[in-house]
Amino acid sequence: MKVDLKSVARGESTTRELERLSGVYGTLERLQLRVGVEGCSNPDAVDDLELWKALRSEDCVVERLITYQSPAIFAHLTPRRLDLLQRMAMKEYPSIRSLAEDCGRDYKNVYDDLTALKLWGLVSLVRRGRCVRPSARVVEMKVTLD
Amino acid sequence: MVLHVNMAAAPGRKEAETDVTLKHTRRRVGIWRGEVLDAVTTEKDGRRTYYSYTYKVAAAGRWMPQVRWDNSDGEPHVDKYDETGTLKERAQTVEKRLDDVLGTVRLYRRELLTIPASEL
Repeated sequence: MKVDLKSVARGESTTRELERLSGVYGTLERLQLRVGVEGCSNPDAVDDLELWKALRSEDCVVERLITYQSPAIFAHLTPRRLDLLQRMAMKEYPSIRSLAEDCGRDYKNVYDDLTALKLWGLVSLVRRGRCVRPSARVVEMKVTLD
Repeated sequence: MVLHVNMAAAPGRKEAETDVTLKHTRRRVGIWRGEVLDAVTTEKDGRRTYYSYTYKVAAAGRWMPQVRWDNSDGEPHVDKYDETGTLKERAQTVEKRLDDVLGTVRLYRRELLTIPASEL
């Protein structure tokens, strides 16, 4: 069995990627400085620098793929978590609280679900001041039963 | 048999295809429970200009890098990290492809940490 999860960002939809990078590193120059000092000691920063440089090109496409070859991920894709993913794929939420309110669920439970999904690479949580902005990293799922 | 779910699908909506000259791809491949390979590539006009393949293990709520193959400094090399994710060893190597790295990672998994960087 193979589970493929995919999202594609191009044009205006790459702004989410830029927001995530700005939230984590501040500016491109700061990130370049950091990578210049830390190099591959901080591999995620090196990859993010490459992404940020690519995003400066107008015709850049960012493709995110996740492949799992065991059904273990399904133990973490509860109906409520799938509902969260679908809501985030269809609409942007400025905060976890706004998402929780939209679902009619308790903030803590939604936060726990998002944290679990984040570990599987399915969502990103970007701090914006006092709020944490959730967004889906995947919008398409393909399950191949061999 | 393939089950395909598009969470953002809207009836009748079809994305317009555009010419892409710069494509940045991030792929996470599950290796085992708590083990993944993160593959990052940039292609310009169909030619790969950047790659990194990082084998990571889950620890303390984070994905900790253990072994990484990349060409970030212009020269392909392999880095090894200790159990805290601290860089500890580097060796020059040849350009790598995802299939090669995946094969190595699936074969050795956590035993990669015992293999010298020069042999990876």
